[in-house]
Amino acid sequence: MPSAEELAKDAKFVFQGTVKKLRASNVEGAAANLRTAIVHVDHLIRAVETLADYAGRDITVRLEHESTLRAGQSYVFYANGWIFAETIAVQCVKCDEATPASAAALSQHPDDAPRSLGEHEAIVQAEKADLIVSGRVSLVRLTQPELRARNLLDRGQTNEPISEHAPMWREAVIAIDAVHKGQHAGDEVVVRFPASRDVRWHKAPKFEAGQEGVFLLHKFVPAAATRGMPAEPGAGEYTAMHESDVQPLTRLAAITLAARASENR
Amino acid sequence: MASRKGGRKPASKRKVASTTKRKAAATKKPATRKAARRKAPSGPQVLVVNMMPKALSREHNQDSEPTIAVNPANPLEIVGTSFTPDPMGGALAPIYVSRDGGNTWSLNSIVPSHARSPSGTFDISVAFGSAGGRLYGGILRDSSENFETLRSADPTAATAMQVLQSRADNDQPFAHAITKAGKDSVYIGNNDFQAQPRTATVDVYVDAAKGTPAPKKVRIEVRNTAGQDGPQVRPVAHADGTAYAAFYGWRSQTGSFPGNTLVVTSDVVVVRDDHGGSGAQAFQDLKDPGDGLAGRLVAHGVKIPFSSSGTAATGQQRLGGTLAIAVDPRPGHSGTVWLAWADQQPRSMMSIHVRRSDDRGATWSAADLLTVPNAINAALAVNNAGVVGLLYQQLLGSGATSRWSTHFRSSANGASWSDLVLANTSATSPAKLFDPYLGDYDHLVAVGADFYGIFSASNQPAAANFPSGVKYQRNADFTSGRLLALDNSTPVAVSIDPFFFKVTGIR
Repeated sequence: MPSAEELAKDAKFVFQGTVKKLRASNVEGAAANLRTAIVHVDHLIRAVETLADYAGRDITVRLEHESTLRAGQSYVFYANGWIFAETIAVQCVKCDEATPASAAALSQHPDDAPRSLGEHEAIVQAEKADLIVSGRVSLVRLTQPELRARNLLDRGQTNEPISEHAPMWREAVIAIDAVHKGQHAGDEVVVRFPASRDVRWHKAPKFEAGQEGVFLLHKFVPAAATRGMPAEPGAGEYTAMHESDVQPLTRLAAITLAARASENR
Repeated sequence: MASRKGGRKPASKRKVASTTKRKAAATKKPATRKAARRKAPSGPQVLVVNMMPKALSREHNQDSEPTIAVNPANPLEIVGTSFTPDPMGGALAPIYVSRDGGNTWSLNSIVPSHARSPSGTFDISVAFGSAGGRLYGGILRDSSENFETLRSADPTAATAMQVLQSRADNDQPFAHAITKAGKDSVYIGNNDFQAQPRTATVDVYVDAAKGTPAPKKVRIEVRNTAGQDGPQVRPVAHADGTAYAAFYGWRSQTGSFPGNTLVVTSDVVVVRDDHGGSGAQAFQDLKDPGDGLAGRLVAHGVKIPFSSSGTAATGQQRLGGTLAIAVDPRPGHSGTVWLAWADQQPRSMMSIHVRRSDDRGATWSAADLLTVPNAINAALAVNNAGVVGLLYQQLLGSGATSRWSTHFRSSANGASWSDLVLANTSATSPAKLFDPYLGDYDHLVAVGADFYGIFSASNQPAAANFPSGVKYQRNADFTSGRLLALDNSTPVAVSIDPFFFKVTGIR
């Protein structure tokens, strides 16, 4: 069971709000009870772009446990989604009494909650990455296993499933300027990525020759339950599947700090 | 709530009109807050609703590939699904919930998923049991891609759906449920690559309501294949215990899937089980007269383009076939079954064919009862009067002016068909974010006399786009044709949204 701190770190909707009414709800389907409250959103700290205009609005907050909130008091709420209707109801995983200093400390970009969320997620990904490099994509190519699989497929000589969710693996060669986390010998690293635009893969970064950036790379771990496809990356090959795994060079300083902190743990 | 009536005609002509007489042209009128339900003195009424809640007015995701479930025990309770991620990026994906018969919708995040999932699931389909109010679903889960069977005792509650089973190497789970003698029989058609080369499979639960039941995995393909079957495996069941399923039996192929040139030669196969799929030889009660094997070959050697990516020529929609089956739910009518499939025809990227059997699948109408060129996403249902409903999306025109025209048609006898245009939206805008653009399927169900359906289309707010009227929950200005954010002034980009519709009064 993750701790409240861990849940708060993953929370997608973080805001400073003032409790307007306890044991209340303003969302149909979110029944008012001892765990709910109507909260006025004073200031968004981290939020997705879709919900970036909720400052100044009243929403329903459901707490993990019976409410110990006080009406009129301001808190920092770490929340995730619950019900989206005329307005929203959120599930709070942690809340702290707000002070100007505590709210300010959480806001990388006080007037841009989506940007703050994006940078927060980049830092979380940096902590998870096995290897972080900055550099430039020098080459994108089909992998040899993928080439063999395609040739067999085209001749009807394979039992590889034909699925609309096929990843269509390719590999990018990155010319390394610097290594910021992990260890890597040589001045190039090869990254496998899905070229497919299917719903399964469309958010995974698509590498292009000439692309510059900070690359957060993860060693591939094959799912134990699957049969494994011929062109699938092997265990330990580098992939970058999360949309935050490719970052602009302007975020290098923050990512480097996060990477060092995670290495020292 | 922004509502819009479009295409006003004299009241006597606002009922479902025949194909040849119907004109979808709509006149521009100011946005109103009146209900969008169309009413004719003696004809059917239709309600079309954009399902995106007002709270998500700023949303611009590609919410494609929808399905719908209506609780037969309480038809006011309806659930919809699509490729919709949790709006806050949480670890549970949302379903769309209506408690008032589809007039208003909210999102309730209860589907097991993965934090920051861009689409919630990689496939999802839902069905209610016909009694008891339990919702069942089949998903491809983000991020394992496992096929999981889900159950919820109350989909309006905040409780995550329970996972009944999970397994890898699967595609396109498609759910159907029916309650018999207090037991929920659940059928989930799926393309199970663990069964290669005969992959068409139906997972059967004979009592899915209790505990964590294991499915019986029924392999319904008995013939040789080209290595696998098609992803569409569609089950349907009657209250008397008759169950059918339809699938594409892939026999050979040419071209390349990655190269976007794959064409598969397929049989369209219907299987039947007279005991609900519960026996040892499940779904083998219908033999083909040609080879004597289980599974009637309703169409033989049809060509199916199976593309990896949609193009401008296909209205941004990838092609891969479409398949739907429905049985007459009336007592004593389980032998009447309707089938729709699509294949490649000259000058038609995909043509939908509709046929019927009146003898439990043994023989089928010799020719199409209805043929629709350049069309995808066929969905069928039969109401309690024996009237069949057909939903599909047809590509009209070409190039920059091409349109996706979404139709609901119905027929009591298969000879004459009504035609209702639900939407007529751009096929070029918005630009595709991923495949599939509109979805590899949409969905239609019947409860009592009424038809309930769901489709995905461009949400550009324009009266002419919705000839049968439409009601928007999200902020929209039909005069300027703009979507608006929560502040009712900031413009929001056009995107693909799910639309609910209900057609009543068909006899």
